[in-house]
Amino acid sequence: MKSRYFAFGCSYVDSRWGTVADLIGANFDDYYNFGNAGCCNTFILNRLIEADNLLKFNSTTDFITVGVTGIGRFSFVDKDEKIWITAGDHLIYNKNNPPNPNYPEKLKLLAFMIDDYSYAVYRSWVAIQTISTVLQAKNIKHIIYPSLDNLLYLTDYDLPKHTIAKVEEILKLCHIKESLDEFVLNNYPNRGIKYEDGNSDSHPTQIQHYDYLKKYFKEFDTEKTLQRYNYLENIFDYKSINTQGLNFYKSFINKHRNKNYKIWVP
Amino acid sequence: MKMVSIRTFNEMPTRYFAFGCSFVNYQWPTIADYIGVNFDQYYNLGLPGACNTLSSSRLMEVDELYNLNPETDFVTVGITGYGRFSIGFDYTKEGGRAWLTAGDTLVKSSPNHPFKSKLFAKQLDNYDWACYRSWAAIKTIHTVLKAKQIKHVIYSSIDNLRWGLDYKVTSQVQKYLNRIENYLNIKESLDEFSSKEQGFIIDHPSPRQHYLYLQKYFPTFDTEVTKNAFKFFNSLYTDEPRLKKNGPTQDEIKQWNNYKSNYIKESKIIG
Repeated sequence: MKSRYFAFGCSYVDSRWGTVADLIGANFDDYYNFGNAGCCNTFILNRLIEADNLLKFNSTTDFITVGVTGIGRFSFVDKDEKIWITAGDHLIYNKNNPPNPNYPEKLKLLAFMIDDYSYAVYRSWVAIQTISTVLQAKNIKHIIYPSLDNLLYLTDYDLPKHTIAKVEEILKLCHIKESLDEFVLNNYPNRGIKYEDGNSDSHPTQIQHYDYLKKYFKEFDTEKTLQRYNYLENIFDYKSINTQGLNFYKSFINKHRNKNYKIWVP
Repeated sequence: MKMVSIRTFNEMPTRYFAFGCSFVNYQWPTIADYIGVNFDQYYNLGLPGACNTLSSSRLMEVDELYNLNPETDFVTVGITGYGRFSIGFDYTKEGGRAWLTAGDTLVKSSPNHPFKSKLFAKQLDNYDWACYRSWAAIKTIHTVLKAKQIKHVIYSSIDNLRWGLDYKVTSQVQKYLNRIENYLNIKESLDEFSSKEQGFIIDHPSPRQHYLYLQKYFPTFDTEVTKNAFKFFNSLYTDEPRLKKNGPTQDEIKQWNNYKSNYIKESKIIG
Protein backbone atom coordinates (compact mmCIF):
# COMPACT_ATOMS: atom_id res chain seq x y z
CA MET A 1 0.00 0.00 0.00
CA LYS A 2 1.16 3.50 -0.78
CA SER A 3 2.30 5.64 2.13
CA ARG A 4 0.39 8.92 2.37
CA TYR A 5 1.18 12.26 3.99
CA PHE A 6 -1.39 15.01 4.60
CA ALA A 7 -0.29 18.52 5.65
CA PHE A 8 -2.71 21.05 7.14
CA GLY A 9 -2.15 24.67 8.10
CA CYS A 10 -1.79 28.20 6.75
CA SER A 11 0.87 29.85 4.56
CA TYR A 12 3.57 28.29 6.75
CA VAL A 13 2.46 25.02 5.12
CA ASP A 14 1.45 26.16 1.62
CA SER A 15 3.55 29.13 0.54
CA ARG A 16 5.20 30.59 -2.53
CA TRP A 17 8.21 28.41 -1.83
CA GLY A 18 9.02 25.11 -0.13
CA THR A 19 7.86 24.61 3.45
CA VAL A 20 8.52 22.01 6.11
CA ALA A 21 5.51 20.11 4.71
CA ASP A 22 6.99 20.06 1.19
CA LEU A 23 10.23 18.66 2.62
CA ILE A 24 8.50 15.96 4.70
CA GLY A 25 6.41 15.11 1.63
CA ALA A 26 9.53 13.87 -0.20
CA ASN A 27 9.47 10.77 2.01
CA PHE A 28 5.99 9.54 1.02
CA ASP A 29 4.44 7.94 -2.05
CA ASP A 30 1.51 10.36 -1.97
CA TYR A 31 1.77 13.88 -0.58
CA TYR A 32 -1.33 16.03 -0.07
CA ASN A 33 -1.07 19.68 1.00
CA PHE A 34 -4.28 21.22 2.39
CA GLY A 35 -2.59 24.42 3.61
CA ASN A 36 -4.24 27.74 2.83
CA ALA A 37 -2.58 31.12 3.25
CA GLY A 38 -4.21 33.35 5.89
CA CYS A 39 -6.72 30.78 7.10
CA CYS A 40 -7.88 30.28 10.71
CA ASN A 41 -7.71 27.14 12.84
CA THR A 42 -11.42 26.35 12.29
CA PHE A 43 -10.74 26.37 8.55
CA ILE A 44 -7.88 23.92 9.15
CA LEU A 45 -10.19 21.62 11.15
CA ASN A 46 -12.83 21.71 8.41
CA ARG A 47 -10.21 20.87 5.75
CA LEU A 48 -9.08 17.90 7.87
CA ILE A 49 -12.65 16.66 8.23
CA GLU A 50 -13.14 17.07 4.47
CA ALA A 51 -9.91 15.23 3.70
CA ASP A 52 -10.98 12.35 5.95
CA ASN A 53 -14.38 12.27 4.27
CA LEU A 54 -12.84 12.17 0.78
CA LEU A 55 -9.67 10.15 1.27
CA LYS A 56 -10.53 8.02 4.35
CA PHE A 57 -7.60 8.31 6.75
CA ASN A 58 -6.21 5.00 7.94
CA SER A 59 -3.63 4.09 10.55
CA THR A 60 -1.61 1.76 8.31
CA THR A 61 -0.46 4.16 5.62
CA ASP A 62 -1.06 7.70 6.79
CA PHE A 63 0.89 10.47 8.51
CA ILE A 64 -0.50 13.92 9.23
CA THR A 65 0.97 17.23 10.32
CA VAL A 66 -1.06 20.20 11.52
CA GLY A 67 0.58 23.61 11.74
CA VAL A 68 -1.43 25.63 14.25
CA THR A 69 -1.96 29.15 12.98
CA GLY A 70 -2.79 32.52 14.57
CA ILE A 71 -5.62 32.62 17.08
CA GLY A 72 -6.98 36.01 15.99
CA ARG A 73 -8.24 34.84 12.60
CA PHE A 74 -11.66 34.11 11.17
CA SER A 75 -12.09 32.66 7.67
CA PHE A 76 -15.40 33.25 5.92
CA VAL A 77 -17.03 33.05 2.51
CA ASP A 78 -17.65 36.47 0.99
CA LYS A 79 -21.32 36.65 0.03
CA ASP A 80 -20.68 38.98 -2.93
CA GLU A 81 -17.40 37.69 -4.31
CA LYS A 82 -18.20 34.03 -3.55
CA ILE A 83 -14.67 33.29 -2.40
CA TRP A 84 -13.07 32.27 0.88
CA ILE A 85 -11.65 35.30 2.68
CA THR A 86 -8.62 34.03 4.55
CA ALA A 87 -6.94 37.31 5.35
CA GLY A 88 -4.77 36.46 8.33
CA ASP A 89 -5.04 37.98 11.77
CA HIS A 90 -7.68 40.72 12.14
CA LEU A 91 -7.53 40.82 15.96
CA ILE A 92 -4.12 42.51 15.93
CA TYR A 93 -5.94 45.73 15.05
CA ASN A 94 -7.36 48.04 17.68
CA LYS A 95 -7.74 51.76 18.37
CA ASN A 96 -4.00 52.11 18.99
CA ASN A 97 -3.05 49.97 16.00
CA PRO A 98 -5.63 50.70 13.29
CA PRO A 99 -5.51 48.88 9.95
CA ASN A 100 -4.57 50.80 6.81
CA PRO A 101 -7.41 52.59 5.01
CA ASN A 102 -7.61 49.93 2.29
CA TYR A 103 -8.24 47.13 4.78
CA PRO A 104 -11.50 45.35 3.70
CA GLU A 105 -14.63 46.71 5.40
CA LYS A 106 -15.89 43.23 6.26
CA LEU A 107 -12.72 42.44 8.17
CA LYS A 108 -12.95 45.75 10.05
CA LEU A 109 -16.50 44.77 10.95
CA LEU A 110 -15.28 41.44 12.27
CA ALA A 111 -12.40 42.95 14.20
CA PHE A 112 -14.26 45.85 15.79
CA MET A 113 -17.92 44.80 15.99
CA ILE A 114 -18.19 41.01 16.24
CA ASP A 115 -15.04 39.18 17.28
CA ASP A 116 -13.09 39.33 20.54
CA TYR A 117 -10.08 37.64 22.10
CA SER A 118 -11.99 35.17 24.31
CA TYR A 119 -14.19 34.01 21.45
CA ALA A 120 -11.17 33.71 19.15
CA VAL A 121 -9.27 31.63 21.72
CA TYR A 122 -12.32 29.39 22.22
CA ARG A 123 -12.68 28.81 18.45
CA SER A 124 -9.02 27.86 18.12
CA TRP A 125 -9.15 25.61 21.16
CA VAL A 126 -12.20 23.77 19.78
CA ALA A 127 -10.48 23.33 16.42
CA ILE A 128 -7.19 21.98 17.77
CA GLN A 129 -8.86 19.85 20.46
CA THR A 130 -11.13 18.31 17.79
CA ILE A 131 -8.21 17.62 15.45
CA SER A 132 -6.27 15.97 18.26
CA THR A 133 -9.28 13.90 19.38
CA VAL A 134 -10.13 12.68 15.88
CA LEU A 135 -6.56 11.72 15.00
CA GLN A 136 -5.99 9.98 18.32
CA ALA A 137 -9.30 8.11 18.17
CA LYS A 138 -8.55 6.99 14.62
CA ASN A 139 -5.04 6.02 15.63
CA ILE A 140 -3.45 8.12 12.87
CA LYS A 141 0.24 8.95 13.35
CA HIS A 142 0.44 12.72 13.58
CA ILE A 143 2.34 15.78 14.78
CA ILE A 144 0.64 19.02 15.82
CA TYR A 145 3.06 21.95 15.96
CA PRO A 146 2.68 25.71 16.25
CA SER A 147 3.42 27.55 13.02
CA LEU A 148 2.70 30.98 14.44
CA ASP A 149 3.64 32.38 17.83
CA ASN A 150 0.47 32.74 19.93
CA LEU A 151 2.26 33.42 23.23
CA LEU A 152 1.00 37.02 23.31
CA TYR A 153 -2.39 35.63 24.28
CA LEU A 154 -0.88 34.51 27.59
CA THR A 155 0.59 37.86 28.48
CA ASP A 156 -0.51 40.88 26.51
CA TYR A 157 -4.28 40.94 26.20
CA ASP A 158 -5.41 40.89 29.84
CA LEU A 159 -7.64 37.87 29.25
CA PRO A 160 -9.81 36.17 31.89
CA LYS A 161 -8.33 33.15 33.68
CA HIS A 162 -10.43 30.53 31.90
CA THR A 163 -9.45 31.96 28.50
CA ILE A 164 -5.75 31.85 29.40
CA ALA A 165 -6.28 28.24 30.49
CA LYS A 166 -7.60 27.48 27.01
CA VAL A 167 -4.53 29.11 25.40
CA GLU A 168 -2.35 26.91 27.61
CA GLU A 169 -4.36 23.87 26.54
CA ILE A 170 -3.78 24.73 22.88
CA LEU A 171 -0.04 24.87 23.55
CA LYS A 172 -0.20 21.54 25.42
CA LEU A 173 -1.94 19.90 22.46
CA CYS A 174 1.12 20.74 20.31
CA HIS A 175 3.76 18.00 20.22
CA ILE A 176 6.41 20.61 19.46
CA LYS A 177 6.49 23.61 21.76
CA GLU A 178 8.64 26.08 19.80
CA SER A 179 6.72 27.64 16.95
CA LEU A 180 8.29 28.04 13.54
CA ASP A 181 7.91 31.78 14.13
CA GLU A 182 9.90 31.69 17.39
CA PHE A 183 12.48 29.33 15.87
CA VAL A 184 13.21 31.88 13.14
CA LEU A 185 13.32 34.75 15.62
CA ASN A 186 15.65 32.84 17.95
CA ASN A 187 18.11 31.60 15.34
CA TYR A 188 18.38 34.03 12.44
CA PRO A 189 19.25 37.72 12.16
CA ASN A 190 16.68 38.23 9.36
CA ARG A 191 13.55 36.67 8.06
CA GLY A 192 11.97 36.50 4.63
CA ILE A 193 13.11 37.13 1.08
CA LYS A 194 13.81 40.38 -0.72
CA TYR A 195 13.19 40.06 -4.45
CA GLU A 196 15.14 41.83 -7.21
CA ASP A 197 12.11 44.03 -7.99
CA GLY A 198 12.24 45.47 -4.46
CA ASN A 199 9.26 43.56 -3.03
CA SER A 200 9.68 41.29 -0.05
CA ASP A 201 7.95 38.36 1.67
CA SER A 202 8.51 37.89 5.40
CA HIS A 203 7.60 34.20 5.68
CA PRO A 204 10.27 31.76 6.94
CA THR A 205 12.67 30.90 4.11
CA GLN A 206 13.33 27.43 2.72
CA ILE A 207 16.52 27.00 4.76
CA GLN A 208 14.63 28.02 7.90
CA HIS A 209 11.92 25.43 7.17
CA TYR A 210 14.65 22.84 6.54
CA ASP A 211 16.47 23.67 9.78
CA TYR A 212 13.17 23.43 11.72
CA LEU A 213 12.65 19.98 10.21
CA LYS A 214 16.18 18.94 11.22
CA LYS A 215 15.52 20.01 14.81
CA TYR A 216 11.96 18.75 15.30
CA PHE A 217 11.17 16.19 12.58
CA LYS A 218 14.45 14.25 12.78
CA GLU A 219 13.05 11.04 11.29
CA PHE A 220 12.44 12.99 8.07
CA ASP A 221 15.97 14.40 7.85
CA THR A 222 16.74 11.94 5.05
CA GLU A 223 18.61 11.87 1.75
CA LYS A 224 15.28 12.33 -0.05
CA THR A 225 14.58 15.45 1.99
CA LEU A 226 18.02 16.87 1.20
CA GLN A 227 17.48 16.20 -2.50
CA ARG A 228 14.14 17.97 -2.39
CA TYR A 229 15.60 20.93 -0.53
CA ASN A 230 18.37 21.25 -3.15
CA TYR A 231 15.79 21.04 -5.93
CA LEU A 232 13.66 23.77 -4.31
CA GLU A 233 16.71 26.02 -3.96
CA ASN A 234 17.72 25.41 -7.57
CA ILE A 235 14.35 26.41 -9.00
CA PHE A 236 13.99 29.55 -6.83
CA ASP A 237 13.35 32.65 -8.93
CA TYR A 238 14.48 35.83 -7.16
CA LYS A 239 13.14 38.21 -9.82
CA SER A 240 9.75 38.88 -8.22
CA ILE A 241 7.02 37.46 -5.96
CA ASN A 242 4.85 36.72 -8.97
CA THR A 243 7.47 34.94 -11.05
CA GLN A 244 8.52 32.84 -8.05
CA GLY A 245 4.88 32.00 -7.29
CA LEU A 246 4.21 30.88 -10.86
CA ASN A 247 7.49 29.04 -11.12
CA PHE A 248 6.91 27.23 -7.81
CA TYR A 249 3.47 26.14 -8.95
CA LYS A 250 4.72 24.87 -12.32
CA SER A 251 7.98 23.27 -11.22
CA PHE A 252 6.98 21.90 -7.83
CA ILE A 253 3.28 21.85 -6.86
CA ASN A 254 2.13 20.39 -10.17
CA LYS A 255 4.75 17.66 -10.04
CA HIS A 256 5.03 16.69 -6.40
CA ARG A 257 1.70 17.25 -4.68
CA ASN A 258 -1.25 14.94 -5.17
CA LYS A 259 -4.19 17.12 -6.18
CA ASN A 260 -6.53 14.33 -7.10
CA TYR A 261 -9.40 15.35 -4.84
CA LYS A 262 -12.17 17.92 -4.82
CA ILE A 263 -12.81 19.97 -1.72
CA TRP A 264 -15.43 22.66 -1.49
CA VAL A 265 -14.62 25.98 -3.08
CA PRO A 266 -17.39 28.61 -3.12
CA MET B 1 -32.73 5.48 38.01
CA LYS B 2 -31.03 3.03 35.68
CA MET B 3 -30.33 3.23 32.03
CA VAL B 4 -32.21 0.68 29.96
CA SER B 5 -30.70 0.38 26.54
CA ILE B 6 -27.03 0.23 27.41
CA ARG B 7 -26.28 -2.06 30.32
CA THR B 8 -22.97 -1.74 32.04
CA PHE B 9 -21.26 -4.67 33.65
CA ASN B 10 -19.57 -2.74 36.38
CA GLU B 11 -20.54 -0.22 39.01
CA MET B 12 -19.83 2.83 36.90
CA PRO B 13 -22.75 5.22 36.64
CA THR B 14 -24.46 5.49 33.28
CA ARG B 15 -24.31 8.92 31.68
CA TYR B 16 -26.40 10.66 29.06
CA PHE B 17 -25.36 13.84 27.23
CA ALA B 18 -27.88 15.75 25.11
CA PHE B 19 -26.83 18.41 22.56
CA GLY B 20 -28.88 20.75 20.42
CA CYS B 21 -31.03 23.87 20.56
CA SER B 22 -34.30 24.74 22.32
CA PHE B 23 -35.80 21.49 21.02
CA VAL B 24 -33.45 19.86 23.55
CA ASN B 25 -33.34 22.35 26.42
CA TYR B 26 -36.45 24.42 26.95
CA GLN B 27 -38.93 25.85 29.39
CA TRP B 28 -40.91 22.62 29.32
CA PRO B 29 -39.88 18.95 28.99
CA THR B 30 -38.17 17.84 25.79
CA ILE B 31 -37.27 14.46 24.39
CA ALA B 32 -33.86 14.76 26.07
CA ASP B 33 -35.54 15.14 29.47
CA TYR B 34 -37.63 12.01 28.85
CA ILE B 35 -34.53 10.02 27.86
CA GLY B 36 -32.50 11.53 30.71
CA VAL B 37 -34.60 10.02 33.50
CA ASN B 38 -33.29 6.57 32.51
CA PHE B 39 -29.68 7.39 33.35
CA ASP B 40 -27.72 7.78 36.55
CA GLN B 41 -26.32 11.08 35.30
CA TYR B 42 -27.98 13.34 32.76
CA TYR B 43 -26.30 16.39 31.22
CA ASN B 44 -28.30 18.72 29.00
CA LEU B 45 -25.99 20.85 26.83
CA GLY B 46 -28.76 22.20 24.61
CA LEU B 47 -28.96 25.96 24.21
CA PRO B 48 -32.00 27.76 22.77
CA GLY B 49 -31.16 29.40 19.45
CA ALA B 50 -27.83 27.58 19.06
CA CYS B 51 -26.29 26.68 15.71
CA ASN B 52 -24.81 23.31 14.79
CA THR B 53 -21.24 24.57 15.21
CA LEU B 54 -22.05 25.38 18.82
CA SER B 55 -23.31 21.82 19.39
CA SER B 56 -20.11 20.47 17.86
CA SER B 57 -17.98 22.79 20.04
CA ARG B 58 -19.86 21.78 23.19
CA LEU B 59 -19.36 18.12 22.35
CA MET B 60 -15.59 18.73 22.37
CA GLU B 61 -15.80 20.60 25.68
CA VAL B 62 -17.78 17.76 27.21
CA ASP B 63 -15.36 15.16 25.89
CA GLU B 64 -12.46 17.05 27.43
CA LEU B 65 -14.22 17.48 30.79
CA TYR B 66 -15.90 14.07 31.12
CA ASN B 67 -13.80 11.86 28.86
CA LEU B 68 -16.63 10.22 26.92
CA ASN B 69 -16.34 6.44 26.88
CA PRO B 70 -18.22 3.59 25.17
CA GLU B 71 -18.91 1.65 28.40
CA THR B 72 -21.17 4.11 30.20
CA ASP B 73 -22.15 6.89 27.84
CA PHE B 74 -24.96 7.69 25.46
CA VAL B 75 -25.18 10.87 23.38
CA THR B 76 -27.97 12.45 21.37
CA VAL B 77 -27.54 15.39 19.02
CA GLY B 78 -30.59 17.26 17.75
CA ILE B 79 -29.57 18.96 14.51
CA THR B 80 -30.81 22.51 14.35
CA GLY B 81 -31.47 25.06 11.57
CA TYR B 82 -28.72 25.71 9.03
CA GLY B 83 -29.33 29.47 8.87
CA ARG B 84 -27.90 30.11 12.32
CA PHE B 85 -24.60 31.46 13.58
CA SER B 86 -23.91 31.62 17.31
CA ILE B 87 -21.54 34.41 18.26
CA GLY B 88 -19.17 33.89 21.14
CA PHE B 89 -19.48 35.63 24.43
CA ASP B 90 -21.55 38.77 24.29
CA TYR B 91 -21.92 40.77 27.49
CA THR B 92 -25.07 39.94 29.49
CA LYS B 93 -27.23 42.40 31.44
CA GLU B 94 -25.68 41.00 34.61
CA GLY B 95 -22.18 41.83 33.37
CA GLY B 96 -21.17 38.24 32.56
CA ARG B 97 -20.42 36.72 29.19
CA ALA B 98 -22.70 34.37 27.28
CA TRP B 99 -23.23 32.91 23.82
CA LEU B 100 -25.33 35.07 21.55
CA THR B 101 -27.69 32.44 20.13
CA ALA B 102 -30.37 34.23 18.17
CA GLY B 103 -31.84 31.33 16.21
CA ASP B 104 -32.17 31.57 12.47
CA THR B 105 -30.89 35.00 11.48
CA LEU B 106 -30.25 34.21 7.82
CA VAL B 107 -33.65 33.06 6.54
CA LYS B 108 -35.88 34.24 9.37
CA SER B 109 -34.45 37.69 10.00
CA SER B 110 -36.28 39.76 12.56
CA PRO B 111 -35.87 43.33 13.81
CA ASN B 112 -35.88 41.82 17.31
CA HIS B 113 -32.65 39.90 16.72
CA PRO B 114 -29.62 41.24 18.61
CA PHE B 115 -27.59 43.89 16.79
CA LYS B 116 -24.46 41.76 16.35
CA SER B 117 -26.45 38.83 14.96
CA LYS B 118 -28.26 41.05 12.46
CA LEU B 119 -24.97 42.59 11.40
CA PHE B 120 -23.37 39.20 10.89
CA ALA B 121 -26.33 37.88 8.88
CA LYS B 122 -26.59 40.95 6.69
CA GLN B 123 -22.94 41.67 6.01
CA LEU B 124 -21.21 38.33 6.17
CA ASP B 125 -23.48 35.30 6.05
CA ASN B 126 -24.80 33.50 2.97
CA TYR B 127 -26.65 30.27 2.13
CA ASP B 128 -23.67 28.35 0.70
CA TRP B 129 -21.40 29.03 3.63
CA ALA B 130 -24.19 28.39 6.17
CA CYS B 131 -24.79 24.94 4.66
CA TYR B 132 -21.06 24.19 4.60
CA ARG B 133 -20.75 25.21 8.27
CA SER B 134 -23.56 22.86 9.25
CA TRP B 135 -22.12 20.03 7.16
CA ALA B 136 -18.69 20.52 8.79
CA ALA B 137 -20.21 20.59 12.29
CA ILE B 138 -22.41 17.53 11.81
CA LYS B 139 -19.66 15.57 10.05
CA THR B 140 -17.29 16.47 12.92
CA ILE B 141 -19.82 15.28 15.52
CA HIS B 142 -20.38 12.06 13.57
CA THR B 143 -16.63 11.46 13.12
CA VAL B 144 -15.77 12.04 16.79
CA LEU B 145 -18.59 9.86 18.17
CA LYS B 146 -17.89 7.06 15.69
CA ALA B 147 -14.13 7.15 16.21
CA LYS B 148 -14.59 7.04 20.01
CA GLN B 149 -17.24 4.30 19.67
CA ILE B 150 -19.76 6.24 21.74
CA LYS B 151 -23.34 5.01 21.42
CA HIS B 152 -25.28 7.87 19.89
CA VAL B 153 -28.29 9.01 17.93
CA ILE B 154 -28.12 12.01 15.60
CA TYR B 155 -31.56 13.24 14.62
CA SER B 156 -33.01 16.35 13.10
CA SER B 157 -34.76 18.70 15.47
CA ILE B 158 -35.52 21.40 12.95
CA ASP B 159 -36.89 20.82 9.46
CA ASN B 160 -34.17 21.88 6.99
CA LEU B 161 -35.91 20.52 3.90
CA ARG B 162 -36.31 23.94 2.28
CA TRP B 163 -32.53 24.30 1.97
CA GLY B 164 -31.51 23.75 -1.63
CA LEU B 165 -35.11 24.43 -2.73
CA ASP B 166 -36.34 27.78 -1.41
CA TYR B 167 -32.90 28.73 -0.18
CA LYS B 168 -30.83 28.24 -3.31
CA VAL B 169 -27.32 26.84 -3.08
CA THR B 170 -24.76 25.79 -5.70
CA SER B 171 -24.79 22.22 -7.00
CA GLN B 172 -21.59 21.50 -5.09
CA VAL B 173 -23.13 22.65 -1.80
CA GLN B 174 -26.21 20.56 -2.63
CA LYS B 175 -23.92 17.50 -2.47
CA TYR B 176 -22.88 18.48 1.05
CA LEU B 177 -26.55 18.91 2.01
CA ASN B 178 -27.26 15.43 0.70
CA ARG B 179 -24.34 14.04 2.68
CA ILE B 180 -25.81 15.38 5.94
CA GLU B 181 -28.68 12.93 5.45
CA ASN B 182 -26.18 10.07 5.69
CA TYR B 183 -25.16 11.09 9.20
CA LEU B 184 -28.71 11.14 10.57
CA ASN B 185 -29.97 8.07 12.41
CA ILE B 186 -33.57 9.33 12.19
CA LYS B 187 -34.79 10.89 8.96
CA GLU B 188 -38.03 12.55 10.13
CA SER B 189 -37.31 15.73 12.06
CA LEU B 190 -39.08 16.51 15.31
CA ASP B 191 -40.34 19.63 13.51
CA GLU B 192 -42.01 17.63 10.72
CA PHE B 193 -43.34 15.06 13.16
CA SER B 194 -44.92 17.75 15.33
CA SER B 195 -46.25 19.80 12.40
CA LYS B 196 -48.49 16.92 11.40
CA GLU B 197 -50.36 17.31 14.66
CA GLN B 198 -50.39 21.11 14.62
CA GLY B 199 -49.58 20.99 18.28
CA PHE B 200 -46.91 23.66 18.44
CA ILE B 201 -46.70 26.01 21.36
CA ILE B 202 -44.94 29.26 20.50
CA ASP B 203 -43.10 27.53 17.65
CA HIS B 204 -41.99 24.57 19.75
CA PRO B 205 -43.29 21.00 20.02
CA SER B 206 -45.43 20.49 23.11
CA PRO B 207 -44.30 18.17 25.94
CA ARG B 208 -46.73 15.57 24.59
CA GLN B 209 -45.26 15.74 21.07
CA HIS B 210 -41.76 15.25 22.43
CA TYR B 211 -43.01 12.15 24.20
CA LEU B 212 -44.76 10.82 21.07
CA TYR B 213 -41.55 11.34 19.07
CA LEU B 214 -39.68 9.34 21.70
CA GLN B 215 -42.25 6.54 21.49
CA LYS B 216 -41.84 6.36 17.71
CA TYR B 217 -38.08 6.75 17.35
CA PHE B 218 -36.53 5.94 20.74
CA PRO B 219 -38.83 3.07 21.82
CA THR B 220 -36.19 1.51 24.09
CA PHE B 221 -36.45 4.60 26.29
CA ASP B 222 -40.25 4.42 26.62
CA THR B 223 -39.81 2.81 30.01
CA GLU B 224 -41.79 2.89 33.22
CA VAL B 225 -39.64 5.74 34.54
CA THR B 226 -40.18 7.70 31.32
CA LYS B 227 -43.94 7.07 31.46
CA ASN B 228 -44.00 8.25 35.08
CA ALA B 229 -41.98 11.32 34.20
CA PHE B 230 -44.41 12.11 31.39
CA LYS B 231 -47.34 11.78 33.81
CA PHE B 232 -45.62 14.09 36.25
CA PHE B 233 -44.74 16.63 33.56
CA ASN B 234 -48.34 16.56 32.36
CA SER B 235 -49.50 17.32 35.87
CA LEU B 236 -47.47 20.53 35.69
CA TYR B 237 -48.98 21.54 32.35
CA THR B 238 -52.65 20.66 32.71
CA ASP B 239 -54.16 23.17 30.35
CA GLU B 240 -52.68 22.46 26.89
CA PRO B 241 -55.10 24.77 24.98
CA ARG B 242 -54.09 27.67 27.23
CA LEU B 243 -50.46 26.64 26.88
CA LYS B 244 -50.82 26.74 23.09
CA LYS B 245 -52.39 30.17 23.24
CA ASN B 246 -50.21 31.93 25.79
CA GLY B 247 -47.25 29.67 26.56
CA PRO B 248 -46.44 28.57 30.11
CA THR B 249 -46.89 30.86 33.09
CA GLN B 250 -43.91 32.00 35.15
CA ASP B 251 -45.05 29.62 37.93
CA GLU B 252 -45.14 26.66 35.56
CA ILE B 253 -41.66 27.47 34.24
CA LYS B 254 -40.35 27.84 37.80
CA GLN B 255 -41.87 24.52 38.86
CA TRP B 256 -40.41 22.78 35.84
CA ASN B 257 -36.95 24.31 36.37
CA ASN B 258 -37.02 23.27 40.04
CA TYR B 259 -37.89 19.73 39.10
CA LYS B 260 -35.28 19.63 36.34
CA SER B 261 -32.53 20.96 38.57
CA ASN B 262 -32.95 17.91 40.79
CA TYR B 263 -31.84 15.47 38.17
CA ILE B 264 -29.87 17.36 35.52
CA LYS B 265 -26.17 17.54 36.30
CA GLU B 266 -24.57 20.95 36.13
CA SER B 267 -21.77 20.93 33.60
CA LYS B 268 -18.81 23.24 33.80
CA ILE B 269 -18.56 24.16 30.17
CA ILE B 270 -17.84 27.69 29.00
CA GLY B 271 -20.79 29.97 28.45
